[in-house]
This record gives sequence, C-alpha cells and structure tokens, in this order.
Amino acid sequence: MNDDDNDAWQTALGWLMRQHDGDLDEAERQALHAWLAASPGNRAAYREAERLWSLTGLIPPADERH
Amino acid sequence: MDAHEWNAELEDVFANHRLRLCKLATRILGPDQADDVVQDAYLKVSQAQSAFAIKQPLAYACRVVRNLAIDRQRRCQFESTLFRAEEQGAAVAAPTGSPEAIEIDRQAMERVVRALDELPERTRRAFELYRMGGHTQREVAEQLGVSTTLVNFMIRDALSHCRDSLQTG
Repeated sequence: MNDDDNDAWQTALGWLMRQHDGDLDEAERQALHAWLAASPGNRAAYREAERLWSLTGLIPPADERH
Repeated sequence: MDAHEWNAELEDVFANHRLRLCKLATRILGPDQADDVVQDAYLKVSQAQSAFAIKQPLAYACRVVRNLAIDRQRRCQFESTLFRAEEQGAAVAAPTGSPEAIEIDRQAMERVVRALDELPERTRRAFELYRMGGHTQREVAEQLGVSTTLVNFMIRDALSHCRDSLQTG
C-alpha cells in the first residue's frame, strides 16, 4: 500500500467510525461529501471500509462461536 | 454442530421469533422497513454462517438485525443529504454503492474471521464491543479501562488487519 492509499484508507476509517459513533452534523456531512468527491481513490477506500464493516457485522464475538 | 443442524436452528429462530426481530428493527427504523431488514438479516446470516458456528442463535440473530437496522438508518440519512446536495447542483460524488448489495463471499468471510482471531486479545475485544456490541468508542474505552485514543487505534488496527487478509493471495 503506498502512502496515498494508506492516507485514504485511514481517512475512510475515520469517517466510518465517526458515523458509527453518532449522527453526522451538517458540516460533517458536507465534509464527507467533499472528501468522497475529491478522488476515486477516496471513494474506493470508503467502499472498502464499508464492505469490511458489513462483513464484520455478521461475525459473532469469538466466545460466542464454536 | 454441523452446518446442516445449524441451518435448521437458524430457520427456527427466524420463523419462531420473527415478531421479536421485527419489533427490534421497528424501534430503530420505524415499521415500514422492519420486515425488509429482518429478511435481509436472514439472507445474510444464512450465507455467512458456513464460516463459523454460533452458540446462541437467537442472541446472534437479534444482534445482526439491530446492527443492520442501525447501518441502514445511517446510510439513509447520509444518502438523503447526498441527494439534496445533488438537487442543489453541488458537485458531489456518486453514492458509493450500497453495502447491502454486496454478496456475502464465503471465502472472504472465512479470511476475515481468521484475521479477527489473529488480533491481540484486547484489540479483538475492543473491536467486538464496538462492531457487534454497537458501543461507541468512549463506551468501549470505559469498559476496557483504556483511553479513547487507544480504542480508536485498536479499531483501526482490527479493520486494517481484516483488509490485509483479503488482499494477500
């Protein structure tokens, strides 16, 4: 992963966590839209983060699995 | 328990506790989308479950329904804002694609399960509380007795390790 990719990935994770912790306010929504609009790499990173978020949402905690 | 037995148990949970699951979804999303979310949860769980076996199917089903409902609610809010911005002529990115449309890929699921199991114990626990438990970073920090900053790093580490597991080989 090059530095740009990693920056985009870390920023995408930041947005995902911010959304999970509570509703975004108007300024934050606009900032997220602007960030997504800024580059295909940003959109790809966000999509990847959402995909992992969806997958991990189906995995029970280790002590509730056999 | 083999996959066949578990499948039967899963069917039972969704058949016998449908009302309870719908009520759970209704509390988060309102009545209109509740059925749809429960159905979506059933489909996803039946695709995902071959990657692991579950001790408490009902508790698991409840958690998946709740988390899917929360994810959907957040996405609806996000996309309605996006739509409004587009109507106003702002230059915004196209929606990033609905995660709900993503097929559950069994191999990817197995890799991610393994990746989570490889994490240091405390990191895994932090991530489980955050993701499956639906807690905020601050709540996770309180439960584990660590700083919110550390929780933030642990969740990033967990998701990055999962991502790496899908990119190698």
